Amino acid sequence: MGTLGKLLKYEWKETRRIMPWFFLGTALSGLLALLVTWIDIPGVKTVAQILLALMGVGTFFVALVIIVLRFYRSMFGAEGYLSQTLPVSAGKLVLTKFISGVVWTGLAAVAMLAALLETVMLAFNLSGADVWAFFTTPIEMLPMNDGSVLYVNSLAEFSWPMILLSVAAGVFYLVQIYLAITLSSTPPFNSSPVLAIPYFLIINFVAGIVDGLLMLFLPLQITFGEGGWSFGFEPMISWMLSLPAEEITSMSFGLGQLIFDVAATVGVLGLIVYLVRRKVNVK
Amino acid sequence: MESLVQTKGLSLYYNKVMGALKDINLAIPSGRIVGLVGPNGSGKTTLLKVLAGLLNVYTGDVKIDGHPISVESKSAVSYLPEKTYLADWMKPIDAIEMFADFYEDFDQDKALELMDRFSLTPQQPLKNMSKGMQEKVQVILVMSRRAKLYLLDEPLGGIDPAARSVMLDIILENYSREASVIVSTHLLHDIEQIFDDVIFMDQGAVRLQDQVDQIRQSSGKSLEDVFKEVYR
Repeated sequence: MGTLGKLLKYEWKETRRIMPWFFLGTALSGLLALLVTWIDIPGVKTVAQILLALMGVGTFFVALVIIVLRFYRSMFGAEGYLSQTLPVSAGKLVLTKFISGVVWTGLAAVAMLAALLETVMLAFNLSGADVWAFFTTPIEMLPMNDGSVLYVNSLAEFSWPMILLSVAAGVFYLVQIYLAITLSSTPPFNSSPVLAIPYFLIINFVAGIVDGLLMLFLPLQITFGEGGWSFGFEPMISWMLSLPAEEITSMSFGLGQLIFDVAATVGVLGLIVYLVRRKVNVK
Repeated sequence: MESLVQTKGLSLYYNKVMGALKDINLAIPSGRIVGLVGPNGSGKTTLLKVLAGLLNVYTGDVKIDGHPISVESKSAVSYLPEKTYLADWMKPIDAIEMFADFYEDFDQDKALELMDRFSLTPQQPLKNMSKGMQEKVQVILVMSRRAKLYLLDEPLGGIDPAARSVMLDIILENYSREASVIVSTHLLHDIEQIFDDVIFMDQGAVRLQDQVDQIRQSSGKSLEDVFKEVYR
């Protein structure tokens, strides 16, 4: 096993102690909600559904907190005295935390969405077929000038770029948190680990502005219309400025944000590796 | 021949005025046990942390076994910090497995033998151990490697007086003769007999560096008396 594999093994040993219990709790809450809804116990049914939603959301936030605390403790806290003196490169150390963070928060996000979906299905008495129809029936996307609406694309077809954007944004969000924590251990910014919070707010604010600007102005977009989807080399702002038009038959999303998030994730990881190797002082 | 540890003009400043290390020039060959002594805040721990690769913002040159601070230098160094660095969920057996995974020179059998000698249970969670027991586990892990350089930061600090001589024996028995050991301590009385050389530090600078026998011979005093004189 290579050193990356060994690092991942110990990362897994550490994180598996807590996280699976929350997934188990969410799964059991799901079963409980299903059971009491099926038996139809009024009152208890609502409580079980609320519990399920809370467990799902709670699992995601607990995963995020654990991943963030683990990054700080094992890199720059007392455990950093061990991890940073191991004969492994800073790149592998950071990559281990990144993989672990993406996997756990990704799984927790899936658990949260599944819990929320089940809650909605039980609360509104929706069947699987109803949900399937909801995602696959073409949706009323755009109002036409004659008062009618244009039916294009199902939610399932329409939502995949949204999912892609959300995943890229989520991963970028995670590395922003890692960067803020790393900066709070880097002279001259390292007077307190609590400073990671304002550092994150500043990084996130700047990244948000760049995200928005590139989404609007980078001349690369994906367009959804009656004929499906296509790529185009117009900025999203052009489509927005054309609203309202005589005939709107499409909807466009700028891809600048996606490209920036992916590139910035790689860049920020590289910056973290550089800081860990050259600039960080483990207190 | 190149020294095992070599520093040239090593300085480290926590801010513009507060120097933690000031122009440290060291050349430590293999096969020496070096005492690093000085009052609190004199820079002993900071120097060891630089050599271990934990502090990266310094000026000057640092080389361990011919390598700048890097993966290669870390392979050569077995570092015992002042604080406990093992995660509290671990058992000693987990830590032994981890060291065996990452350090090719780690001797698992020796570690288990030393655990037994200290009446430590490999399966007992670290969180259920006293601080002294946890420190013993760490000393065992560090000394079970056949490293080229051992950096021991206050190895006797949290250990009861009765166990100190056993700990010293373990350090002496287990370091290889081709290696060097740098031991920082303020308990000079307990440990001075094992030193070949000594480095006296004060306010981030080296105040005195010499062979222990030379110091004793020229001053006619014990190392502890010389220490008291230097830091009076």
